[in-house]
Amino acid sequence: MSNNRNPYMNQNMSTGARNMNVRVSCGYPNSAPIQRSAQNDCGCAGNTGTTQQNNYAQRLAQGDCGCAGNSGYARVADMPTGDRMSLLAYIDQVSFAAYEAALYLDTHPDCQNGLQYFREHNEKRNLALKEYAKLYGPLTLEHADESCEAYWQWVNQPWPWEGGNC
Amino acid sequence: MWYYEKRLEYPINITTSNAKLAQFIASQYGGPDGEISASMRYLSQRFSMKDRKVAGLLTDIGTEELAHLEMVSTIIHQLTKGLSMEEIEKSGLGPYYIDHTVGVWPQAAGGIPFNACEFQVKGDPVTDLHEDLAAEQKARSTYDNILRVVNNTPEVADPIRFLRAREVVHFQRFGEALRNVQEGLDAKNFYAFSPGFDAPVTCPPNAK
Repeated sequence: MSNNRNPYMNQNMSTGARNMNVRVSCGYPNSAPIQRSAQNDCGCAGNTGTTQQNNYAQRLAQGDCGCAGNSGYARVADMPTGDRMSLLAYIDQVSFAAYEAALYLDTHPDCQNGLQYFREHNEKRNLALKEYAKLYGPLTLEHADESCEAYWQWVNQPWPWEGGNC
Repeated sequence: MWYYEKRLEYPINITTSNAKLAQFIASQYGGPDGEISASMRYLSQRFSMKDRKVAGLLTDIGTEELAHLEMVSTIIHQLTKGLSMEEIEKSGLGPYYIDHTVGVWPQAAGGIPFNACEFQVKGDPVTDLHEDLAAEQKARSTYDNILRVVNNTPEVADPIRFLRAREVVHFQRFGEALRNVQEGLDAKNFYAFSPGFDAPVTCPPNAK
């Protein structure tokens, strides 16, 4: 498949904001990227502006979906115990990992490593959501009644847009 | 088809208000290349995609853009909290304040209200995906512009950098989607027919 007509798949993709004096970081040090080791791109736009050659077409022809096997990508650590903010941060990270894997799987539905990565992080996410609901109140409607109280707690919680000031 | 989780995709905790920044960042809410435009574009285009993977991708990315528009509007909301009248008038937010107080209303930094002329749904998968690739780059450029202004304010720059990184990743995903669509086209002539109009509909394997 060397005759790849898609101009966007064979370009050198510059991922950095090189001339801006901005240290760009995605903020999720252990985040998802299935294709990281294959494409040297964690999706955080880099902080050195490194370029990469995306030879997806050739690799696909060789049966390589680009997820680079087991050793190429980071996994999120185990659920923390302790305070609400660190559990929420854990939920943010593990959910991001699962969601990013889902986007990847949308266009690579038969990538086995990707499926496994998604399952692992989605399981962690579901456990964490349940735990959070038990300790601090529900984040989703399906956990809205874990405590079986006499009040609809769902409307009685801080909204995420209020920031840390509530 | 939507429900929500009570958390932002990335945390936002801005402690200092800044009317000027709010005005600038508004472009990523209601501006031509902002998150409302992105989500409406992708969630509308998905109907013409006969390739199920591409329809799925547009739905998922469109959903993420909804989460992004929420993030941007949260940034604007937090930046306009507790503003004094003097700050409002001096910063240039005066005209906006007259019509909206410090409510969050979708317009570009220059004042043009959000409108559907700012995105297209051509109904042709190849065309629409090229529009999507361009949209992600336009959004990235807008975030670059914003970052030049907020670079020294970490509590604002942090979520903006996250959003910018997501645009780059979406761009890559749309490139893959375009490749997927092209595989279903006549290899000798991509434009021989449009799957959005000329091809028969196929149901998913377990539909019956």
